[in-house]
Amino acid sequence: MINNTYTSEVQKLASLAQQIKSSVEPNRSVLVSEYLRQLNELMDKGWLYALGKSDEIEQSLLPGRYVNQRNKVIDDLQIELGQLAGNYRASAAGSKKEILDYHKTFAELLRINGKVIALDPDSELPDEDMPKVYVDYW
Amino acid sequence: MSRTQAIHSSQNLVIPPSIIYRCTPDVRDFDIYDINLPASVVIDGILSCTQLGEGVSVPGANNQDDEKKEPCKRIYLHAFRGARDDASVRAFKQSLKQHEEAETNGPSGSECLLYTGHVGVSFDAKSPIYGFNPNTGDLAGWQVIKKLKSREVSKPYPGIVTDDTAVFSMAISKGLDYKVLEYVFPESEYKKIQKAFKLTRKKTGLTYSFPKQGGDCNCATWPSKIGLSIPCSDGAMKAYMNSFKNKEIRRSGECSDK
Repeated sequence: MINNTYTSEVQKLASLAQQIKSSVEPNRSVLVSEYLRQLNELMDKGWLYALGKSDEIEQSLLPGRYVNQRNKVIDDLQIELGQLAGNYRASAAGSKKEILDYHKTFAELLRINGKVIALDPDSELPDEDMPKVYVDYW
Repeated sequence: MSRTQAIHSSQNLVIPPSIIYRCTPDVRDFDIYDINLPASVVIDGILSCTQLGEGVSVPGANNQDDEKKEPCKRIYLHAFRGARDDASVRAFKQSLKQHEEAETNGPSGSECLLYTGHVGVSFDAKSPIYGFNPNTGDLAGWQVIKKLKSREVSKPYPGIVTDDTAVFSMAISKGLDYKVLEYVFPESEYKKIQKAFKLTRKKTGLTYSFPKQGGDCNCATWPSKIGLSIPCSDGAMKAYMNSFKNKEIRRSGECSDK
């Protein structure tokens, strides 16, 4: 997975998204156009990651290529969780590192997807070591 | 690109032997075995395929050679991902919890497989489908799932190969993400794999665990133990399901479908 960050551009988009959420027409349309312009420009530069659900505007307004890119990131994060769950199973009892690594990636998946996503059993840790938000969701 | 265009657009190019190709759908259908054209033209007909790697030659490139080749035989790899919609996952997790609290035996083996996903193989036809499973004895379904996720690396389950056709049929009827990968082998290679399969079907010393848990393999990686080149060595279902396309065909060695 490539997170070529473009931090300042992503922050500008996040800020615009918040402005759009609290805006009304006709200003809202202007802001949405600016958001889409900046998002397309960022992707044209080769940015390959996702903004995070809270920094996105409504799905129906997002460009298809961005939605595909974000879905790919979500897919990759799930695959990474599968690998991290494997690392956990291979680790010694009591070791915390594997749990922390898993929780970090899980938090990123939750940030990008905006809600809990059902993982494959081989990508899960035992309930006592899974993030609480995941266990509680079910 | 139409089939005719595919044949005539690149007649001067040469494909080196021993290369594996993945064809675009319209070209994949191109019947290179029945067409009566010189070999070079037929090879040109599949130039829009994507080169995947070296190791196996382009099959059916020469009709005269075809007559000397072994007949082709097929093995199918079946894989489905467990239901991952919220309602199904919630229902299964609650079932696990209820059985654990009541100390009862469920969920059943079939329910567990439909939840976890499964991989199996069939020979010559798309069924019966055989899969590698943990031989869990009298252990309850909820205990099995719990142990498979744990760090109990020193105690993988003994493995067992069973006829799981019914589970695969249920997966199809439930509309789960189900893929079939078709392998085409020369008969001699096919027989080696079939022989290895028959031995493990009778009795296997292989142990079962989730990936990296200390066992020899799980359902997804078991086919490699009988000689199949699996699409993904990871063994985790998400990566495995992403690693091949439904109805993909992979050829190994030269053989004839005549």
